[in-house]
Amino acid sequence: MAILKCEKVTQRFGLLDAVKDLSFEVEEGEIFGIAGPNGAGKTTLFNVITGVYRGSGDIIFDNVNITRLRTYQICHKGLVRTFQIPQLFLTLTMLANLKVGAHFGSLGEDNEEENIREVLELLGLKGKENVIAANLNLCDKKLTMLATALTTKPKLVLLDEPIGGLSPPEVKEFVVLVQKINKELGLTIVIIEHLMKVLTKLSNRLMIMENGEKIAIGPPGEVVKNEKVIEVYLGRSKYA
Amino acid sequence: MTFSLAASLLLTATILGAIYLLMALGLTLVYGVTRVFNFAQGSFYVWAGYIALVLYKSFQLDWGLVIAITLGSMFGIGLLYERAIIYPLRRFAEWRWTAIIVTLGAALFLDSLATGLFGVKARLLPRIFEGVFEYGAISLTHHDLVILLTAVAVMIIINLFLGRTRTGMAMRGVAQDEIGANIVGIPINRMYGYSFAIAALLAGVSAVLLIPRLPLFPAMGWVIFVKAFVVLIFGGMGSIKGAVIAAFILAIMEVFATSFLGAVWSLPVCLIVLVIVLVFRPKGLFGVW
Amino acid sequence: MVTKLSKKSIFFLVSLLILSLLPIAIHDNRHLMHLLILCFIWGVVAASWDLILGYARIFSFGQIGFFGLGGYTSAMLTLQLGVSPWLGILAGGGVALATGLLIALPCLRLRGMYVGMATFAVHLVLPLLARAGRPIGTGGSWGLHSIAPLYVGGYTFSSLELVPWYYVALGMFALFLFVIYKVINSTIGLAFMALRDSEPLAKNLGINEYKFTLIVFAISAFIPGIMGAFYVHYMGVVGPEIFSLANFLLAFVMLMLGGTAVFPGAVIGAFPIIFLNDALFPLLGFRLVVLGAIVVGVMIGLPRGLMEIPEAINRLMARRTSKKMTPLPETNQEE
Repeated sequence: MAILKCEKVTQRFGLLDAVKDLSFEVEEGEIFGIAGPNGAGKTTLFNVITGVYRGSGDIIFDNVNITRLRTYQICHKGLVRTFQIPQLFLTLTMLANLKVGAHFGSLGEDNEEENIREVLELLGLKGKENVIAANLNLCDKKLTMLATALTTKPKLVLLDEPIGGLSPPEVKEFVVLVQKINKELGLTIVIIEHLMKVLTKLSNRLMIMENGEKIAIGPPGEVVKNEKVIEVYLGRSKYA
Repeated sequence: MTFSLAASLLLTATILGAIYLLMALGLTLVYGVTRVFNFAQGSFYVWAGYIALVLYKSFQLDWGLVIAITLGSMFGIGLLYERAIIYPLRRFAEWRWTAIIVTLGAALFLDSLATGLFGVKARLLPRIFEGVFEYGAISLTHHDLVILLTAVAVMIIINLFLGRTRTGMAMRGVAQDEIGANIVGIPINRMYGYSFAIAALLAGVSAVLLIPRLPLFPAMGWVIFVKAFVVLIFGGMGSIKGAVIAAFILAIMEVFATSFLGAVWSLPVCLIVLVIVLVFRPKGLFGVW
Repeated sequence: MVTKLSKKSIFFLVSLLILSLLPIAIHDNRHLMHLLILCFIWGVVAASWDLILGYARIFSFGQIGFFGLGGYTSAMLTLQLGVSPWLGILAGGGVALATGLLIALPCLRLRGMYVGMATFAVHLVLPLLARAGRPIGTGGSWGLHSIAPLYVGGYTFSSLELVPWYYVALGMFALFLFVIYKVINSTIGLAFMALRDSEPLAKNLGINEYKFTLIVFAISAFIPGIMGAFYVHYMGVVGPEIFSLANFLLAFVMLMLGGTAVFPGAVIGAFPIIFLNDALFPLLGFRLVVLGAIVVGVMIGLPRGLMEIPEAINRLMARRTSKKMTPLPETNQEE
């Protein structure tokens, strides 16, 4: 079933249509990739979905219309995101960062400590809980940000360009991690990325955006052969 | 409401608006370039007034000379202020938060110093020119005319400065993108210094113009400061056009309110406007930020 | 972290013990007792300001406004309606809390300095209201006097015997510091700090930013409201000067000197400032100049306040035991 439905979503900034009449669906349990040139409106789309901006159109998550809800309410419905530029509570320890998610995000159903411990293990962060977030390296910062999202016990996670700045081995680890989260925790994942290798490997389906519109959607194999996509985004060199 | 009453009220409002505009300009210039909200802007005004007072009364200097020295001193004070208080903070990571606290502390320090040195009694400065124009039922003192002309002149000069001179454009560069400005070689420290210096200068001009009309006492700085702030918020931060319009609307409201309701309403009117703006349209009329 | 907290708790409890035993030795020294009572009152006010300014990083400058509001409320209620001073104090806190919420509502959607100016403007307008409020019983520019002192059972407090005042003040001091401490270390405190460090992430993780902003405004308004009311009953008089910039500066310098967002920074700042303020009295107006200079000096030289000193010592001790040559704690990487 479609866990996330965007229907005719439009977000305007002054005269600029950042997102134009966009409609698409994400199936439960899949990994859905989004790519496109810079300025295509991808992050804006995330912002609209998570309630940062109020666009027009409808966003339906898990059969609930979340368009008018505020960000924290959307979190409680089970939808979280990570940020392109790592956002963390820099004056707090990693543990405290996770505690925020565990306490405020997951509506306190489960044992918070257990929740946190599991997430720490899953992401291989054990042993670093008491480090102040400001002192973590980039990779750990990104992992911690992801961890905070996971402690809210979400159903769907939006990942916004999570790979930027990671070295090739770190990228490989990350791919494995995303697949693990998807399979083991049963989370639906929507991921924005530029690195097509990664995106085509991870995604069940892929959507390409340009100028706020979707220009292609489907399994990665098909999408990368789409003429418009090649013209606008991928180019014809062998690096695509 | 007779015509002459309305006309004279409007005139007063125009003059008051001009002053508020000058103060608001000082605030927004500093904020635009350094992103620091200078709580001490009102204190600059007060100190300019006291410097002029001391020069005139105690040293018995010619009024023209007094103005020149006062304005020069204010420019210097602005530079000193920036160097002594803002510059040392910039080595910290989170300096903008600390800077606001520091400017507040500096403002209180300057106020207390003024209170200690000069007492709380209200003082008046002499007018720049004595004499009145009579035009039928409307009278306009020479001094008021000077205020208007000066305000217009300052606006034009500032505009030219920011738009045509290298330093002015450099300051605008820093306001738009500090890192970029730094990379292309603009001396950021000097720009910071200049912006505070100009703000202090503007406060000095306002003081010299307004104090003959409105008595000076140490706490006066806050009144002026709040009004300048309301002008900025009402007009919208970052918009000169907005500030101009807001200054005059505010001045008109204040003048009419104090005429009909009493002088005590001078500050409350401002605050009511502030509340309304903040609640309904925080961006102000033409706000950019 | 656990041992550090215990150290602080021990320090706190020992200090409380000493403070409660102090009257035995000094009850004859009225001046000293009076200063200590002021320390208790102002320490709490500064600590509650730290909650919103330091921990939540919301520029709220209305603290003294709430203090005075609480004072006036209690004074007016006890004078006009004959209400018991204890109820008056509670009412003072209540009115301050309500006002705090009222101010907070429009501030919810505002950023940084806008909130600062709005709250500062409130602070500036309250004395005007007090002066103009003769018809409703504020006593105008002269203020109110002969305000009923506290009473317990049959005993009425008097200005001659300070010991009972001392103990009530100390009790409130201990109580509210405990409450503030608890809030900071609770999930509420975590929410403020999360919102302060990264509002987008905090919201994303389920924190209702409006709710917690209102909570922090409420708490940081209620507490000074109560203390203001107590202060007014203690002094027996209240006037528009309670809203003065002098009082603002007093609380402000305490907070900055002691250190923001470190518990019990503000309190540590309160004691020296009250005594300094008293010692500087002969300087009259220049007293405030010194205080203002201290604020500026501290922020430039010792931005994390006095609390930096024990923290720095702790760090040095930790480094010593690890036997490495490490540079002094950097100030660039902080918050």
